[in-house]
Amino acid sequence: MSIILMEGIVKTYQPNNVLANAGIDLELEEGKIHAIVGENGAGKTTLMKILYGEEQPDSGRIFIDNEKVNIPSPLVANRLGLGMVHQEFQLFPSLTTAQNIVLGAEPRKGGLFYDNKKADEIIKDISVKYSLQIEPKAIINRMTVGQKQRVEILKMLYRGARILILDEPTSVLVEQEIEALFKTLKKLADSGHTIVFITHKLGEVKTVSDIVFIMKSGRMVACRDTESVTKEDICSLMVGRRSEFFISKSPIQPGKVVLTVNNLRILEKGVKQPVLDAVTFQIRKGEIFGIAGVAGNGQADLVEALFGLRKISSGEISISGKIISGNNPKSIRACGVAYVPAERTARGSAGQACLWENIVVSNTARFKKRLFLDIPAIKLFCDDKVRSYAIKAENTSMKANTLSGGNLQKLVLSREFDGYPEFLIIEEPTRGLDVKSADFVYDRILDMRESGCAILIISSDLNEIISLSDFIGVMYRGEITIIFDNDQELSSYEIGEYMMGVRTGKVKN
Amino acid sequence: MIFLLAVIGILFVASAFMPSYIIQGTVRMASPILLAGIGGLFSQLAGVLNIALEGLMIFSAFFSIVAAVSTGSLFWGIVIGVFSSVVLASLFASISLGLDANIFFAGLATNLFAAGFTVLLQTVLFQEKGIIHGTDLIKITEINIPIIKSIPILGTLVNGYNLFVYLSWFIAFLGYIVIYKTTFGLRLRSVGENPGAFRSIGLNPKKYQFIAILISGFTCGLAGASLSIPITAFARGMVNNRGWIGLVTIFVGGINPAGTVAASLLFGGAEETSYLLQVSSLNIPHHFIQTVPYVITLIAMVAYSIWKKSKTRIIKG
Ligand SMILES: Nc1ncnc2c1ncn2[C@@H]1O[C@H](COP(=O)(O)OP(=O)(O)O)[C@@H](O)[C@H]1O
Ligand SMILES: [Mg+2]
Repeated sequence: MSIILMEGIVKTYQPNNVLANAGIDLELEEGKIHAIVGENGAGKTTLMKILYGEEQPDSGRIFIDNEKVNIPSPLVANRLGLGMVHQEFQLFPSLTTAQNIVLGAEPRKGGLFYDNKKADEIIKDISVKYSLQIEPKAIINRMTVGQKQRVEILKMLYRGARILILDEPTSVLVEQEIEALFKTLKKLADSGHTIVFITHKLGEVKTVSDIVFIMKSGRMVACRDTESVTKEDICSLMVGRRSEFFISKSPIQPGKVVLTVNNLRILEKGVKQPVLDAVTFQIRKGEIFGIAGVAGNGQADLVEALFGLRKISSGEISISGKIISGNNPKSIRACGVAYVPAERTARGSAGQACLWENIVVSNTARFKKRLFLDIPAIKLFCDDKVRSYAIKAENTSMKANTLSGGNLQKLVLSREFDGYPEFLIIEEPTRGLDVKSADFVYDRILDMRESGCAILIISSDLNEIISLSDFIGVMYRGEITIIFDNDQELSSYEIGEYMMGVRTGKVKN
Repeated sequence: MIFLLAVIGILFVASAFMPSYIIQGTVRMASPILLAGIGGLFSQLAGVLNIALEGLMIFSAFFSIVAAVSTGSLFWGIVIGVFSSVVLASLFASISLGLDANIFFAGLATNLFAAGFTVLLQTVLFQEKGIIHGTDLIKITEINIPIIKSIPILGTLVNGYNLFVYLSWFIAFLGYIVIYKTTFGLRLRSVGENPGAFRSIGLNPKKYQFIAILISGFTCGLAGASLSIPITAFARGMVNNRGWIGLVTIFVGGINPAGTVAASLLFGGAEETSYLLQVSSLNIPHHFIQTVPYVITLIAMVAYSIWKKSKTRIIKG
């Protein structure tokens, strides 16, 4: 029986006019476990937030038990029997489990006083009822991620949730915790709860879900009984056939090896699964090496390790034969490494500082005039940069946070590409950029390639990776599971299978 | 809590061989700071840095005397003084929370307004820029507790203060109960920790922050009145940064009521020392002496942050 029906949901995010949901229909069956899969940015989270009242759709209707409802806030959603566990937990770190769960609907004594004992008892009761083991008096900030998630689930159950939404619940968990979570979900479903969870892992879809929804670029492309589809089917529906865009890339005779990563490994205390495991690859002069993978499979950690932002456990990184692993970012920069981070505002620039400050910040030594900076020389230099990178700005004294996304990215590029570094790390080169800015960024990257720079690109846009790279490595659970020579016949479908861990192969290079 | 026990322990030991007026002076000096600190603590827990404590105290110190003089009653003086401070607090809260103004500027504006407005009124109402005297008013007396006053050390420590001193300790205790035992206190502590999560469970962060600021207004009202009512006079500058020091006690004390009590005793001691040095025959320049409380503040803040850093290091590593 259908318990939830969403019809024609449309949602556009205003600031950059992103069509996150383009007319989505979704039907949930009572007592069933539903999985929603789709690439990053497909609009999964948005759809669930709309159901939970956190975002309002531009149009579309929602029915619960065949009755049309209006969900203006999470509080109303709670009353309607909906509960959501977010990717980022909404907990109070210094309070106890019990306090976190009952807050807002606390048991009281004498009207004013918080009834500690009663709260602990209630928590004990529901944790037994749903066999979710939890210590009512435990303080949140001493808990593991898995325990915190249990608290979030109990919080929703305490509030009477019959329909439980979980946004990528397994992405933060280790293997055993995932198993425990699935047991819980099954138990909840057996007791009549309806479950929806978002995931990137097709194995999980097959293990627990009854029904799977596949989303792509703001649309619902398929809804299937999980039993009737294979992982490969889901994968091809997810990646699908995309409109190709062509980048004319001149053939280049690759030169000597610039970057060598040898057996790189990062372990985290108390976690069995390595963050990075035996990562080995090389990039030569004039070569673009792209890394494809679902976010969270170690790409960000790899970049941090390469740029000295994260300690490695073992292995070796070298630039033109010189070992740089263990150095700090400053000395790594001095070896000719530049970095364009994914978070342009948080890492790539200083919003409160003006443009020229942002451009010369890593390069002040060049403009020193005794103790002081040679401001006129800096301004001349920056005016030139602003012109050659077509940054739309009135002057170089305005603050960086007034720039639009595309112009900010150009600003970061103008700094990082300056002086022709030997090795360039670029994360998400065009995320959130309009087509024109994206083209500009691609041109610049190819310029750098032609000038002999070794380039590492990490992007969640598979098409971008395929168009730009000479070699493509796929990361899955901290490993580079395969390296493709990017000849013309490589299909996004094939890469997708490796990204999802449907296939793993021996690394060939 | 350990901090509080340590400070009270020191006081106990000290009162065995120090003249009783030093100990009593310390406790007396600590009381307005403590009142301001406890109020500020409520705001701090709710995630609002209340830098308006000083201004709230000035308001109440002034209006309590004005009201006492015009009604002829100390009781009404205190009530109206406290009320005036609560009104100013609600103004500050409306501006900073309701209009989303920068809390720091709103707080500074409140302080400047309180200082300026009281002087203005003083000049207009009393044609007097210096001191308002309530000469006809009966002074409040020190309270003697029958049996305790004859117990040697305890007698010096807890006997013979005026109403405000006892009230400040009572308010601190009450603060502890409200913060840790009531539903309101639980919610208050949650807002400050994660306003987003607070909103997600359907509660309104601003409502709790508003109430917290009003509570600051109430305790600072008592603090202000405790300065002017006992001497039945108001002089400009009489609050003398005690509101700011109250703010410091929150952080030195580690953002909990017991710590705030301990820290205010520490600063009370510093003020008493500074006072005694001034009236002593030692020939130390008074400008120098007056810096004693601030130097102690500085040392305490540095010590606290070092201690906190080492503690987080222990937790992390
Ligand atoms: N608050 C927001 N403001 C602007 N754009 C957003 C916001 N949230 C999501 N988006 C955009 O909407 C699209 C869909 O996002 P999301 O629903 O989070 O996708 P998914 O969960 O499938 O990865 C993305 O392009 C994302 O950048
Ligand atoms: Mg998402």
